[in-house]
Amino acid sequence: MNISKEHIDWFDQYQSGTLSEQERLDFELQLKNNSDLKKEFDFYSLFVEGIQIHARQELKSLLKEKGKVMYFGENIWSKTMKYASVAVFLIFGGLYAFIHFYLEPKQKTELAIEPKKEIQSPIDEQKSISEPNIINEKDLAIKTPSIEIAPLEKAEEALKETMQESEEAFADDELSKELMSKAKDANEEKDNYQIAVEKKLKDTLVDAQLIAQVDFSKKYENKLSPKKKSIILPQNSNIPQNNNQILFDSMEVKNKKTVSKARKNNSTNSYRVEFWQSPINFKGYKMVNNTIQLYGLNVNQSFELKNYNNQLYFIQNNKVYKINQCIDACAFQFEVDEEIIDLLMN
Amino acid sequence: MLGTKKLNDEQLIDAIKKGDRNALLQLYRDNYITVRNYIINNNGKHEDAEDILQDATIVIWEKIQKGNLILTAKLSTFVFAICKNLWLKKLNKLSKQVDIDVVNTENLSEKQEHFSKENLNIVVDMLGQLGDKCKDLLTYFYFDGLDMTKIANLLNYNNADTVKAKKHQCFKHLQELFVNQYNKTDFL
Repeated sequence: MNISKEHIDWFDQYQSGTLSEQERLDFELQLKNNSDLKKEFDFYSLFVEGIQIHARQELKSLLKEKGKVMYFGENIWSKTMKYASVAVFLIFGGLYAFIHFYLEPKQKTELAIEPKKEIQSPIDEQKSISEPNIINEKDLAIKTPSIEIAPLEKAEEALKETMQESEEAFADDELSKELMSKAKDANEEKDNYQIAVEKKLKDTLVDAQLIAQVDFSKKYENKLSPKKKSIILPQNSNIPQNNNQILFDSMEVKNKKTVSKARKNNSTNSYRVEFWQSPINFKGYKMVNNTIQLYGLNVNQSFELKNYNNQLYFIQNNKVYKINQCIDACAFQFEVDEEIIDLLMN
Repeated sequence: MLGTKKLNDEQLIDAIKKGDRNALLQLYRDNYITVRNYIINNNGKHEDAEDILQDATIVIWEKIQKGNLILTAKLSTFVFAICKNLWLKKLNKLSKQVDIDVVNTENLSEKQEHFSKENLNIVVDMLGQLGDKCKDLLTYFYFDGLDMTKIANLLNYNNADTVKAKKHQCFKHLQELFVNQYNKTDFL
């Protein structure tokens, strides 16, 4: 079927309503009577309707593609965003899990120190408790059997009394002999105490293990040599007991007046030397006020502490270490001046 | 063509009368959230809202082109009324319940019932095979209702007579495509 040009124009006019009333009635009459014209008009209408459907489809496609409205909730929070957020969550979650379950336990394992069976002196105990992050007092109270507290307290009191008396004894020459005997008693008392402490500290975890502690007092005259030493070593610090005794016995009290006077005038000459073992094998020292913490040095070897021109030196194994005030860990510095070394070593 | 400036109702209607598709997009976007909220709150989905608003926007377009749109309220109110009507009709089709007061709108499928659906599909498919210029010309004339002079301006033809002659050619071409396809599918 083919629609003629004239009929198309005629149908267009009828569809658009541009025919006059008479023309429209005439057209409708012919449609009724002329089946061929009716067929042509139906065919024409089919095309017109098809064109309109096609146009609607195109408009709909246009609206679908370009009419998207960005609004918070669905468009912005699209599938891509959801996947992205899930990915971010997984990344951070994985990172947290990695750090929390892998790295931290590993670090703890590396840094963990076996609970030392060494015995600490009462001074060590006080020091450890006073230092943050070393001993939790609450844990200590819970974990420590009540039976062991009594000997500890008793030993502490006995040792404190002895220490006080010994201080007084140093101030008075006449009391020096008494001091010696009481110091021996204190040492014996300490041994008893150490047994109690050993048990007590087994359950504590510390960052660094105190190996030994030494009280060191010295007085300078014209030459550089310590005049008085008092060394308290842990019982199981692998130092032979006789060696400990020798060191203790070698304490010189030659010029007691001078010593006691010096202690009164210059208390800063008395140092507490502590030997520490670092879990990361750090070698160096810390010095806060009169307390020196030494890391990585052999605790079993004897040492000397000397002062020359207001510079403190730690001498051990023919090595001369310079010691200065150092709150954070400092590396060892060796004295390089041969004259000073000779002077100190002699 | 429209810039980025937002048009008011009168400007929108004028632009749509001139066949401006961007005006139609603005009409769609302006009413999107309202229609979406309504349809989602009435057992619909996001996709339903888009579909209904697209149909309503096209109804508005055709009404404006045919000069049948008489605005007694804001254009957005009119769009919402059409969307509501279309959605309730769709719900009625699903639930077969008629208890709604609806605004009378043109049923897009009514006219289609006069023709075989297959024949219409062939015509729509054949339009896709026409050249863009023929397709645009027939669309401007039979869908947008533009006169020959406006079409000449839009498609860069010399005058209305040229457009008229070109329209006959395009219509004839479409008939031929249809007949060929029709014979292939043994419709007659």
